[in-house]
Amino acid sequence: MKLRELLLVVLIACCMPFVFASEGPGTGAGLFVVFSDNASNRTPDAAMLKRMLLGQLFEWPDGNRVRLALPSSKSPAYNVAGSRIFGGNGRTMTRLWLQKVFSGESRAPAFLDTDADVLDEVMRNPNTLGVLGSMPDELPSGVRVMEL
Amino acid sequence: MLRLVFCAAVALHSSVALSESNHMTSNSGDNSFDWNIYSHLEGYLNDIHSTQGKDDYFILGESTFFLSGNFGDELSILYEGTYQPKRYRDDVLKSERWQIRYALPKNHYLIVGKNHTPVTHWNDSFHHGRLFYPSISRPLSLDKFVPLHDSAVRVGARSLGEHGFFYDLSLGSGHRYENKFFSNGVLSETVSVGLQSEIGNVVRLGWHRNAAHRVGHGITTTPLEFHSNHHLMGGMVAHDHPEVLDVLTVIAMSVRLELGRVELLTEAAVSDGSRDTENNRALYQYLGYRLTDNIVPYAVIDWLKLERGLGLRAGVESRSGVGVKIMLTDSADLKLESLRHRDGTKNNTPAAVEFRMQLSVSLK
Repeated sequence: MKLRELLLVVLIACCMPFVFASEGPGTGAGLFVVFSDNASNRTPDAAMLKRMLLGQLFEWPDGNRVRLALPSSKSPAYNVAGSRIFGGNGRTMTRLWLQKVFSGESRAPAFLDTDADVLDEVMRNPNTLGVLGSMPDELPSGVRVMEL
Repeated sequence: MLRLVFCAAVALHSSVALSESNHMTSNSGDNSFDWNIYSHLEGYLNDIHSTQGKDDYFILGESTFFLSGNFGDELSILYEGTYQPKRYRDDVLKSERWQIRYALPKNHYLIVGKNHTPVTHWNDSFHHGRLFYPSISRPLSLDKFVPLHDSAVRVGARSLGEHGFFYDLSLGSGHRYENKFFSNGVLSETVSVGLQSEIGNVVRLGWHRNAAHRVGHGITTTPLEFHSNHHLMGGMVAHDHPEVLDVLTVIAMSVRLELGRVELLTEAAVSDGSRDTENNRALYQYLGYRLTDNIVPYAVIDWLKLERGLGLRAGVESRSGVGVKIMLTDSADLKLESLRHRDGTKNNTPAAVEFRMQLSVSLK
């Protein structure tokens, strides 16, 4: 075997642990979207919300631009969101957004580590649509949560 | 060789480390900037060891640098440049795209600048970073008779209505002048329409017309020939004495489907020229099966029939075979392919069985 082929085999072998690494919770866990209901005419349905999360719809029904707060790879909701919304896993979600942002199609989402961070982002910017891994114990006023 | 393997290991390590952090700039605040670098290593072996076959290689592929910025909710900019060492291509640095995008009401937008011609799904969806390509190589038709770039003014919309109708209308400078913004007026037009479902299934029809000046003493170029010569002949440019307009029309259809674990991408294109010998045809067919969320074996067929063009001979080029895409991390992929490749557009290159490996990474 040539040195080149040997190195290729070694490289592939080194990659295998990444492929079979544990991915955490998948389709079984809950998933919620959170958004401000302060703006007028803001009555999105589930399909509309999903298109926003997929970067296909750029604005709310009231015309304001959508901003997104998605779970980062440190969040328990990372793979659940990747599975339920993006049809794969957390990596699928990240890649779709990397592709969109650097194709010039969309503004980058905020990838946040915890549900509390996502809620904070929604409170700070009323045009943010956030993804949560669980229903908050106490819901701040002016915020609406829907299960996906 | 060892240096390249070392680079691969460093790139993989970097992508793992970075994948653990947040991937993109926070969208808080009105203005934001973001950057990224995509790169890949590519290995190639074939079963023909003659002077006519390609030599085996293991190279650093095209590295792509991105800079994007948002100014408020409506205005954004994007720059895409590529780098490849001198020994692999003539132009070490190239500006691939620069564009200013303004978000219009009702999911519409306006783009001004050098952008990817939206005539096919592939060209409109994938940038130069190889990480997102479903197969190692892009369809053979791209940059042959299906145009890659255009300096243009483009208006379009996404997700109109419940069926996700979208469209793009673009007026451009033409391929000869893709780096000279409307220096000779409007020489290309593109219309693209389609439907995109919620899960990303896409059907798209594209129409593109491009005019190019016939130049020199009876020397003519197809619209993309100039562009291709620029690549193939070390930047050789014909003398610029506009006399006659040659027109090339491209019609393309793209279908992207996800049916459970099955992924399908079809890119078909035909062209018709104002001269008799420009009827080109191409078909790219990808069929993948998501074995796990991170492993996708696939089959690919890519076929191109050129009647004329590009400084290459007329003829048929085809690639077909199988491959596997392994998603290593959020930002690193390994693709392996075994293809039968026949290139009748070059000097009777015999068919060869090729083995390709590509490690593609995003550094962010």
